[in-house]
Amino acid sequence: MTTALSVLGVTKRFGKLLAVDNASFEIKRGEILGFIGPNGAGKTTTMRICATLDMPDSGDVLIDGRSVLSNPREVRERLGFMPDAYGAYVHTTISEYLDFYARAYGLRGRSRTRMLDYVKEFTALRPLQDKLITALSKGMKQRLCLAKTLLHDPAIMILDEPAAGLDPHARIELRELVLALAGLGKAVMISSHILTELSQVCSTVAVIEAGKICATGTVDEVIQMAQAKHSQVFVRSLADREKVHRALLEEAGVTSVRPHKNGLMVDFEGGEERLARLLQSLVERGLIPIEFSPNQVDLEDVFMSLTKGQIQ
Amino acid sequence: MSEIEADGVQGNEVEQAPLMERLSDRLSPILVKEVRQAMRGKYFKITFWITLIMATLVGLGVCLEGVSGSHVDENLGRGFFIAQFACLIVATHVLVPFSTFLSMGGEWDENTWDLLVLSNLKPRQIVLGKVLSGGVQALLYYCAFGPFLVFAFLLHGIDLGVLFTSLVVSFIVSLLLSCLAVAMSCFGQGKFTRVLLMVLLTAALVWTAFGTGVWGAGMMFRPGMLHDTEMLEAIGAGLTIGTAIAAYFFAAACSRLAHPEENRSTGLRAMSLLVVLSGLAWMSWVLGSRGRNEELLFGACMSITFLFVTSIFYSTEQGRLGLRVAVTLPKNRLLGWLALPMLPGGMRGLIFYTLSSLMVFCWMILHPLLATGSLPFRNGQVWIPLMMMGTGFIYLGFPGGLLSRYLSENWGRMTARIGVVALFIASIFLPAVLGYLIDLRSWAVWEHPLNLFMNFEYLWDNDLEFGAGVILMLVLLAITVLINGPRTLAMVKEHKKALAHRRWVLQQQAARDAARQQPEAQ
Ligand SMILES: Nc1ncnc2c1ncn2[C@@H]1O[C@H](COP(=O)(O)OP(=O)(O)O)[C@@H](O)[C@H]1O
Ligand SMILES: [Mg+2]
Repeated sequence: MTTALSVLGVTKRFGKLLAVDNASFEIKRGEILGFIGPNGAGKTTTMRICATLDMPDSGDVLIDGRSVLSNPREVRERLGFMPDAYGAYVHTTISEYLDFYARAYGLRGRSRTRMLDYVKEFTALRPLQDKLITALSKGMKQRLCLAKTLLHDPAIMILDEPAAGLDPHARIELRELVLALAGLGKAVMISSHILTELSQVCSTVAVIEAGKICATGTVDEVIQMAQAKHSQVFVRSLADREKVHRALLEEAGVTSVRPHKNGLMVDFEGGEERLARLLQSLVERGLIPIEFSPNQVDLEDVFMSLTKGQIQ
Repeated sequence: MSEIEADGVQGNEVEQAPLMERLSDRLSPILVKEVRQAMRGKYFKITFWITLIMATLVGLGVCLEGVSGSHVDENLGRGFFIAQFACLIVATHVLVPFSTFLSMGGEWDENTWDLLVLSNLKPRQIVLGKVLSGGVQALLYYCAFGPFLVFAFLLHGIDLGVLFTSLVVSFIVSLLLSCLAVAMSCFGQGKFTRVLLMVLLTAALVWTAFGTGVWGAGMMFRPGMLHDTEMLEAIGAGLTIGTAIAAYFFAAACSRLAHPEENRSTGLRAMSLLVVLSGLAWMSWVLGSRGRNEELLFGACMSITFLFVTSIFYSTEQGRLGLRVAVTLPKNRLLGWLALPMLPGGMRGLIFYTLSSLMVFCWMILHPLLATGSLPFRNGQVWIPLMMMGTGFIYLGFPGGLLSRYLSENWGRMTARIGVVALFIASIFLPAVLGYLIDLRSWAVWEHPLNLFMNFEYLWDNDLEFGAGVILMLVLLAITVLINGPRTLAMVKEHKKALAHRRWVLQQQAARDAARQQPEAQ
């Protein structure tokens, strides 16, 4: 798979505030990257730099091999960016709105008509096309902006918090749209501070906190990385609980143990290898567990453990 | 409706569409959007109907007044026309440009600006679209006023030539004012700045509307004027200068809208040159084979003053070439260095000022030489433009050079710009005030050594001699050059580096292309 977007050591300051600190990651074609971080972490700033709207103080972003610094126009041709906040013109219908941007993107004659039909079909906006934008719901507006972003058939899509403010139904619709986009071979970067909808769509994630990228990789990799830092194991043994408790506390990596249901809950630091060794040593001590289950960690927990839960 | 039917209808549309589609494709997308929004917006609807109602009422008033008099004479037609023309001017010179001001501002207020930029529209297209939409709105007014104007014509006493000229001229002026309005809207987005800009714009619009109205009325009462060459020359000169100024504002708007790392200066500098060149060309044409010293000096000094004023901005730009400027440098080394004065950057701005002023000086020498074969200047008059250029150099170079390290900051640029004006005021007025206070008569009447303009007056009647005034000027010039030394060095270094880097990038590209083509060939 070819790389569609690569962020190369981007740094951006606003006065004294270091909004993005040497961020690097990349997205391949057909991939959906979840860009997660709490509010104020620097997601929007990074995305605006990728979209040529802001300039990095240092570093560069390559979109399909074109630098946002030296080739902004070529970048804009290949990139669809959906800002988190955007305005819509008053007294304009969906049709007219899309027609305007299609013209602005330089679509002419029939190719414009065809593209407009296509995006209206894709986002299911056709039945509403004569409605005024000001009369649309948040979900509809989001779909409209997505339709607008698709007009020039960009290879790379950047969506800044597209799910914010949507009801569950609209979220599911959005998720399907995003999956369909990736299915078309587009690289999609989608940011959020709410994770539930991202964990189901993205193939890779980049976690950002206070301007620093603190984890990147596939969803599984990042979960492992988080587990490497911190995880919980539920242990139940037929042996005396006090004895097991004391034995566990002597093991490397165990930070705390507390009774939980009919067994013990162990807070544990370290990767899977260390976990295997823990099990082995319990067995060797004759405290054979009949239940030894590391907690299933989902993206939400990863996020909390990586970002110290600084959600505002 | 079944799918087949729908297809059929669409198919027909596609068959018929091409001509209309192709026509509308030629239009600026912004224009299409702007006109649609304006037509539907409250502002246009309300002002349009109010203007028409006002015109009707005023027209009725004029008619009643005329009819109640003893006899219906040709003045009735004129009075009626002037009343209508006044209403039309208010609409096209004040209301329409103001609406383009609001619509440009709306792109920021309503958060649609980013989407426009992303759609890859160039600032030029955006500004032009807004200006043209002002033109379309003005045209609508002209159409709506058509019946009134025809009625005025039927009342007799109206010269068709004057009617036509005044309508055409007022339409062009309306377009130029829309240009000004859009540009002013780009100059600031802060609340306070916007209010200030609005006040300034309103003043400019009302003032121009008043001027056009009075001019139209004057013409109506003396239609013979239209056949006067001087009147035609005046209209020509007015429109040329107006267009040049509007074009300058247009370029300024485009450069304000450009990305900070993009080239925000070359277009403006080119426009400055164009304004000066068109002014000089106009002068040359009017002077013809004449070559009077006052006229030539007036032309040269006005041009240099204009260059000085615009260079207040150029000479205080940040020294660093923007990231997106460096990649647009000419590939050729020689061209790269020749382009230097036109590129953004404070020191380059100072060089631009110097070279373009020298060009003006050359015009002043060459025009009489070519036209009459001799120079009409007495005494040291020929040195006046050069003295003026040097004086300007000092005023521009001092603050910019001192603050050169801070010009990359907003406040630094503002301080340097205000500094030029402040220095000017301080050096001319303060000694005069001081002279008044300490009872030094010659200083109090501006004859103090810091008033470099005294040199000009002296040169008018006397030969150039290296008296105290000239020496002071030369010393100040030397100091200014010294102050600007560091940033000149930095500029040369950066320019060298940028050119080298540009060539390096191109070589890399060529190598990559070659590498890509080789496997294909095999
Ligand atoms: N234009 C700006 N001027 C000053 N500070 C800004 C600007 N834009 C963003 N910031 C600051 O940069 C940080 C990152 O912001 P942002 O990228 O919007 O975060 P996110 O999108 O992750 O919520 C925040 O602390 C924000 O206050
Ligand atoms: Mg954000």
